[in-house]
Parts: sequence; C-alpha cells; structure tokens
Amino acid sequence: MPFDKATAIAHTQFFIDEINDRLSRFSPIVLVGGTAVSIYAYFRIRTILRRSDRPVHQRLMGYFVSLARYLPSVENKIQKQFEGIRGEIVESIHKYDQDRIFIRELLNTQLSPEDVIQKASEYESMGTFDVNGGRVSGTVYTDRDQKHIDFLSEIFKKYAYSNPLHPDVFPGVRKMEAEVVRMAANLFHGPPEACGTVSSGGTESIMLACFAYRNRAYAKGITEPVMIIPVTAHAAFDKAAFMMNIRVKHIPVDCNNRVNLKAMRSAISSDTCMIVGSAPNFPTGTIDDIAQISNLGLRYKVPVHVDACLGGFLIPFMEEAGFPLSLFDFRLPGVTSISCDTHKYGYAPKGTSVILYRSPEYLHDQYFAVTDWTGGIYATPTLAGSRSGLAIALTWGTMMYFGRNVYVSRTRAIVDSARELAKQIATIPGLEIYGTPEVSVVAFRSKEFNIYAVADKMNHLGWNLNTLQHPDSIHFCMTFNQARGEVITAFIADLRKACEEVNEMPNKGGASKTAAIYGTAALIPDRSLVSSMTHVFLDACYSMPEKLNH
Amino acid sequence: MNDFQQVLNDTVEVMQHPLESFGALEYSEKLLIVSITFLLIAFYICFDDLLKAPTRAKNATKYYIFEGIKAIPIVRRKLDAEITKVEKDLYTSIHYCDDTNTSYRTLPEEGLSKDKLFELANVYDKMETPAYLEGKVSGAVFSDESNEDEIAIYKEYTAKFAWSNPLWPKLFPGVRKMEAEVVRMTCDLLNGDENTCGTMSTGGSMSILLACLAHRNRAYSKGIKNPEMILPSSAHAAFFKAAEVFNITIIEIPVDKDTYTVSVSKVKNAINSKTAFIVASAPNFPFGTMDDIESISKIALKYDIPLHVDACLGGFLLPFINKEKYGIAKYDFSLPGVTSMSADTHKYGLTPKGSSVVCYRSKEYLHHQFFVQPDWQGGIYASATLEGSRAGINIALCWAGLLFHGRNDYEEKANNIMDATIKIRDGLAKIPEIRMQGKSNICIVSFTSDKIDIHRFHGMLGERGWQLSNLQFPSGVHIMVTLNHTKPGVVDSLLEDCREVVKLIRETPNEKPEGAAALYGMVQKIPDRSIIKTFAHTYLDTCYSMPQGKKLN
Repeated sequence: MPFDKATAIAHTQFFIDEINDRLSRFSPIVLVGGTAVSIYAYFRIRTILRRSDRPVHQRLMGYFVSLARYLPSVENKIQKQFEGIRGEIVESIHKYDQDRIFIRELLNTQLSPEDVIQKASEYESMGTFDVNGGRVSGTVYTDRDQKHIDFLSEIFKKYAYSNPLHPDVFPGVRKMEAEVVRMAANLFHGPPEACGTVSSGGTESIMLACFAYRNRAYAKGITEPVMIIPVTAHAAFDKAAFMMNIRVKHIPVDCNNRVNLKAMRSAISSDTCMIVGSAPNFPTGTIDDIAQISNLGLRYKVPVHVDACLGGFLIPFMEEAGFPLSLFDFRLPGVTSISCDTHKYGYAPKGTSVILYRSPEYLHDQYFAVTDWTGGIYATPTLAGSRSGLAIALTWGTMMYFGRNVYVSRTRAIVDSARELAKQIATIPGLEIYGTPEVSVVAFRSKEFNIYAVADKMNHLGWNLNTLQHPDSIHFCMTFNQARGEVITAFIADLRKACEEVNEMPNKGGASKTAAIYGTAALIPDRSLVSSMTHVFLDACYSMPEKLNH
Repeated sequence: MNDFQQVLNDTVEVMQHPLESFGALEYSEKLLIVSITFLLIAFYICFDDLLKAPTRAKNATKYYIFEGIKAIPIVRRKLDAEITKVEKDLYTSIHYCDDTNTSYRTLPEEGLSKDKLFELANVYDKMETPAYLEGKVSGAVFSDESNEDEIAIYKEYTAKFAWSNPLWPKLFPGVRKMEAEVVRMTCDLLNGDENTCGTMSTGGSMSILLACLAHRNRAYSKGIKNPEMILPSSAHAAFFKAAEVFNITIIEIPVDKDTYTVSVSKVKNAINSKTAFIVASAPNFPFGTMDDIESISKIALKYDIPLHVDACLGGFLLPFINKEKYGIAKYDFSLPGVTSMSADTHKYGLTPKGSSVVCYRSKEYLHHQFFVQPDWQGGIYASATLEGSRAGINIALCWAGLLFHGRNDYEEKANNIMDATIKIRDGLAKIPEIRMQGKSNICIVSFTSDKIDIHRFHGMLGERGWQLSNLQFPSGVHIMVTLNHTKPGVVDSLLEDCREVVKLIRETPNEKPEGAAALYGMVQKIPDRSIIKTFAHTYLDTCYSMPQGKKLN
C-alpha cells in the first residue's frame, strides 16, 4: 500500500482523539498526579531491580527475614544458632596454636637474631598439613626445593627494600617488572603492542581489568556499566563490582560447566563494559568457549577479559606438553585482556600476578594519575602506591631459573596426573565428576551421600580439599606436589574409604561440620546473615583468645 | 466525615482552576497533560542521575570534544611533537642507567644456571646507584640496611615463608598469628584500646584505599547514595585514587597559608548529610605538618562523622618521640573522634617494602572493609583486604622487623631522625632566599622561595646527586628525612650544596631551567589537565618499555 499522508494524519488524529476520549473521564489533577507517581515508581523499581541480579523472590524473602530480625524473639533464636557455629569457627582457626601466647605490644628490648630466627621455626611449624607431600589442594604450587629457596634468599638480599614506585632509585626492579610482563605477553601470543603490569595477586589483576574497563565505559558516557560474567567466574569479579560500582550479570553455565553462550549474548546491552571467560575456571577447571566469547566481543564491540589466573602458566604450555587446547589467548582477535598468576603455576613465591592488555589504549584506563596534587604529579600503574620490589625480583628470578622446558615438563606431569585422578575418581561408587576437568582441577560430587562430609573425613586423614557450592561438590587442585603416582594412589585409597564411611553414616553425612555450615548457609534467605557469619571467620583470624600477656 | 470529603473536593477544585487556565484544556487535550508531566519528570530524573554520575562519565562529552580537537591535523602534529619530546626525556631518564641495552622478552628455553642468575641479579642491582644509602634521596628507603643481623634474619624468613598465604589461615596458622600480632602491636602504639582492630595491607596506598572503602560502605549502609569525603588538599594522592576507584566525591579543603595545616573552620563548613568521613594527616606528605587533629576530632564527634587519620608517615615515628620536647599534639586513638588510622611499617618501621597497617576503633568499621560473596560456586568466599591471595612473606618480614628492633631501638632512631630534620630546617632557614612551608619539624623539611625558581633549584641539586621531591600548587621542594640522612656529614654536605646552588642561581638569574624543572614549571601553566595526564601515562608506559637493542634469546 502506498504511503498516503492524509490517511496517516487521519489515523494519528483518530488515535489521539481516542486516547483523549478515554482520558476525559479523569480530572487534570489526577492525570498529572498519576503520571508523576507512575513514572517515579517506574524509575524507583528499576533502581531496586538493578541493584543485584539475584531473583526477585529470593531478595524479597531475604528482606522479610531481615525485617523479622527486628523482633527480639527471632533475633535471639538466630543468635543462639550462631553461637554454636561461632565457637566452632573460632576453634577451627586457633586449634593449630598450642600455647596461645600472643605478642600484644612492641617489645622494649631487641631480640637477638637467634631468637627471632627461632621464632620463625616455631610459627612455621604451627601448620600441620603436609604441603610438600601433596596433601593440600592448590595453595602451594611448587615443591619449594632447597636449591630454589637458597637461590631466592640470595636474590632477596639485594631487593628487600626495593620499590618500583621509584623507578629512578630502583631501575633494576623496574626492568625486571617490564621483562616479566613482556615474557607473559609473549606466552599468550600478544601482539608487539601488548602491555600490562605486575600486580600483587590474581584478585588485584582482575580488579585492575575491571577498573580499566569501567573507566573506559565511563569515558564513553555509560553511567552505570555492566559486566557480564559466567557464574563460574572467580569471586574477585564480584568483589571488583562491589568496590567500583559496576553492575554484574551472572550468566548460567551448561551441563559441562561452560558458560551458556546464548544467555551471554542476550545479556549484552549498550551498558555492557566487559565480558569475561575463564581459562580455566576455579570451581571445576573447565575452560569456557573463549573463541565464541571473543566473537561476541568483536561483534558487539565489547572488551573481552580472559581470566587465566589459575591456569595461566599451564595452558600456554599444554600444546607442547601433548594436550592440545582450542585457542584461548590474544590469537583470538576479540580478547582484549588476560590475567595470569605467576605465584600459582609460575611457581614464584606468593605476591605476584600479571595483567595483560592487547594495546596501551586499555592499559591507560588502568593507570591512575593526579596531575594537580600538591605533592607533585603522581602516577601509579596499579592500585598500590609503594610496591614490594622483592616480590617482582623473586618472580623474575623464578621464571628465569625454570625456563620454558621445565614449565613444559611440569605441565605435562600435572595435567597427566589430573586426568589420571579424574579417571580413578569416576570408578568410586557414588561419586561423579562435575564439570570438565581439562587442566589441573578435578571437581566431583555425589548424589548418594553428603560430599561435604567426605571433605571433612579427608581432612581428618590429612587432605585439605576445596569445598564448592551450587551444586554441593568438592575439588582437588593438582599442583606439582601432587604430580606423582604415589600421591594419587594414596588419595584414591583414602577417598574410597571416606566415601564408604560417609555412606554408612546416619543421614548420609548431613550432620558433618562443613555440611552443617553450608547447609545452614543455603537455607538462610537473608544473605547479610551469611555475611555476618563469615565476618566471624575473618574476625577470628585476627582475634587472640585467652588473654595471656607476654 | 462528609465535611472532610467536602474539604477535599474543594481543594481539588481550587487546584484545578490554574490547570484549566491551560489553553490546551479548551480542547480537553488530556494527552498533552500526560505527556508534559511525563517529559518533565523523566527529564528531572535523568538530569538528577547525570548530576550524580561519576566524574569520568560526566566528562564524557568533554572527552569527545577534546578528542575531536586533538584529531585536527595541526593540533595533532603539535601535540605529537610535544609528546615525543617529553617521551624522549622520560625515556632517557628511565633507561640511562641500563647500559646492557638488552632485555628478556621471552621465557628462556632452558632455565638459567644459579651462577648465571646471581651474575644477572648483580647486573640489575648495579643499575641502582646506592645513592640512597649515602643519604642523597628523599624518602624511598627508610632503613640504612646496615645491620648484617637484620638482613640475615630476613633472609631466613624469606626461606621459611616465601610461599605462605594468609588467605588460607588453616594451612598457614603461623602467618595468620603474625598478622594478628602486628595489628595488635600497631593498635597499641596508636593508643587504641582492646576494641581497636584492623588488618595489614601491602602499603600505605592500600591502607588508605581500605579505610576509604570501609567508610564508603558504611555511608552506603546508612542510605547515603553519593558519599563525600572531606579532604585536606595536603592529604596523600591515595585518597584521590580511592575517590576515583570507589566513586567517592572529594570536597577538597585548602591548607592555611601560614600554618600549612588544614583550615578547621572550612572543614566544619563542608560537613553535610552526604559526608561519609573526614581525613586528617599526621603528618602530611607535601609539608610534613600535622593537621589540628584535636579540633577536627571534636567536630567529628559533634556531627557523628568518622575521622580517618593518615599516619602512614608518622605511625612508626611519632609514638617513639618525646611529644613535649618537639611540641607534637595528640593525633591518635586517644582522641575520641578518631575512628581509623593508617600506619606504614615499611617506612619508619624500617621493615622491607610491602607492609602497612590500617586500624579501626571498633569492629563496626572494620566489617565494612570485609568482602563476602556467600553465593559463589567456588564456596563461601570471604576476604579481609583488597587482595585474595596475599604474600605471607610481607607479613613475616614485618613481624620479624618489629620484634628485632623493639621499642628502645625505634626510640633512639626516631630521635635521631627528628634531630636531623630540625638541623636541616634550621640550616635552610638561614638562607635568606628560602622560605619554610610550615613548621617542618617532623621528618619532612618543606620549603619554597619567592626569589629564585625553586624547580630549577631542585634540578641543580639533582645534578649534585641529591634527589629531593618537587611540590606544586604552590611550587616547592621537600626532603623526607630517613635514617640515611642521620649518618655523619650528610646534613652538612646537603646544606653546603643548597647554599652553593642558591648562590649559583642568584648569579645566573636568567638561565632557563632544564629537564624535570622545566617540565614542572611548564605543566603548572597548562590549563587542560588531561594533557598532563597523557604525559603521566607516557611516563608509566616508559617504565614498562624496553630499549630497542639486541634481543636476548
């Protein structure tokens, strides 16, 4: 039908008349008031809805519970429930400290060097888990052999007081940092202009990337940036979001624990400041489909961050080690940044990680500069001001000490044993592998008995595993300390025993300690209550029960 | 009841009269009324949102305009030329000490041998001129690194705690206990009672960020949507960083022109319902002056607003000196209005780099610093500071340092530092061209000149090996006194050089300053501050750049 101006006007006129006709029943004051109230209500509800991406009914539930807590009877009951857990949490922290003597004030006189060193051994021996024996999931990723340690303490002497905040005073450390970044960028096939910085750990690297992308979104005029992350992404993203006022959209995962790409695509909007994929994720060691995420990023012109904090020093060597993976790094044109931890499979001492960007354009949004500060022009690349040059020097030394070939051979050993472990766990009755253990983490769960009870049992047997939730499961993160046949044999034997015992337990282990904590936490709709439960844990870390003065 | 309805109807009718005088109503254009109301309110809400938006987002338009202007070829060329020049200057200033002209770009195929690595460590170490140990550098390294025993202890601790991580308190109970003890000792030094608490962090900036985060979150929980912090202009740059990272609005209070401390009455006037917290420094970085914390504490108490005292510099110095002798007023938790403090162990606590403490009056504040994600798939996640994994070694080294030195040793050293500071100040005050900024009696001597170009003075002292810090707005120079300046002869030779340089400048008043001095002089005059930001970015980029020499492997 050809466009007829007159008809169109007539139609519009008819439409307007129709509305006016219907509205004529109302008096003008009602119209003004009604419009004002409804539009205000719309914006208000939108703000509330945007505050979190938890389902509305859950949030309402939580709100009602938090209201109910104003009733003394309810609050007392909750506190009473808490009391038991609180005691248990405090005890779980302090049980390793036999004498419970604390230093509360600076000593008046100097201790002799022998005494101070003696104390180091005392404090060090408080830990009871056999880390070097491969009993601990993750945490320490190398075997800390004496040669490595000797060599590091030699490097230490030269760099203890160094600080990259003053590149003019400490040019050596500055250069080391630049080299660590360059070596990491080359591992991930970064283009020549790829750049980045060294940070104090994976969480800081992730926060820095979020900071850069948030600032980038602000610069483009987005006032409320949104980041799109898989539910399996590290908690550091939620932390960054909370600190920097970024909204988060959590994208569910498929049955193989990879992010659901369809859901991810439909979550992208004009407010999106970044999309995240993990390679691999922490809970189950599964690598998201980074190639597809990169395509999404390219198509919608949104930066893509690949979180390789955990596996950053495994996956680049896996192809050479005989475990080819699909692409995950800067070879994918959509990937704009990668975080990888040198203090995990880079085998360096704790305290360093690297954040890499495809080009300086992104890095510049991470830089912070106050140009008008009274104390001079102040510019820092990361969140910290003064930084420990020692951490950088130790990391640099470690990377040079091992060299590519050792990284490759260690990667082969670790991935090999992780796959072997997964195979063996699948043979234990009642257990099933959860997710896709592609790299070094093997997660498993049970539909027959309580898996947290198994974790507790294993803990008694000297194994420290990580507990996961949604769904209930646990994982074992293989490090170089576990990459030996006898560790796997011992682990499987103990795990088999623990599973059998839990299966016999009343309630299938539901009353076990960890099970109780996670069970209670899952039941509480008011999440702030769970938060205050964890505050007890953090407080306990700094508390000094039993007042004995030194 | 009917009366009430009557009144209501009357009111509505009265209110309708002005509305009916709307010409539109003659045609009973009700749609018009609805649309106008809709537009007005929507406009108001959007405008309000925009006003409350973070500064960067607000400036987006400005940014685009600026980018547009920069894209104009003439401007572009001019700017590029300028940047290239600055780039070259910065490049030489960063890389001059590296004569190897090589750098590692890829992981070596085969690991290097121990001997080769020691050799390399030496090469990198040699790039550092040990000028700071001769007392030539302001701040930066606070220990004199002279005690062999201390170094031996640290070495032992490095071997034992290199891989420890307080994120796992059950696996590393020793480091956990050490952290708790460092926090307790610090609280004790700052006159905190049993309820004071806190955490360690990796440095002063981190401690400040944490305190700002806690106070911001507390403000959020009280329903303040756009929290503000009241900040003396002399406060550390980390507060500006915190403001940007955490979206806090800064209300900047200038310092008093005579005392160089923050104006208390202006602080008071700045308080409003959005104020999240007030900041004071003990002492501040640029001038080394102590704000009048006693008065600010009273104000904070009166209006029930948290007060953060930044004692990153003074935290491990002021507790050890005779307050009456040096005329130091109260600054710590003994003042009831002080709710949080930051103190750096790696400055005057003399421990290796990487540790600082943030303290709160009670757990109520500390809990707002904690982050908890109860619903994470990887388990209930809780962390006390900005980091997740943390280097236990920083904690262990700090702990060992505090125990090794002990109170008496700190007292002796603190008094030496105070004496050296006062000696430098008195010496400089005798030079007629130099004007002190503030009292300069605590670890920092800050000065300027009305007669000579102070940045040129800074540059010429630099040629003689003295690395002092440039200040701006107002232009000035300061020296932060460390143990290295207390060595015999250092103060005298500094004063000698200062006198000579002033004399030289007086003799050649028309010579143009060079290098950093020129840069500082220039940048203070540029109106568009975003260009300076570009320079700052260039500087940081240069730090990560590599000379285009031959590649290793």
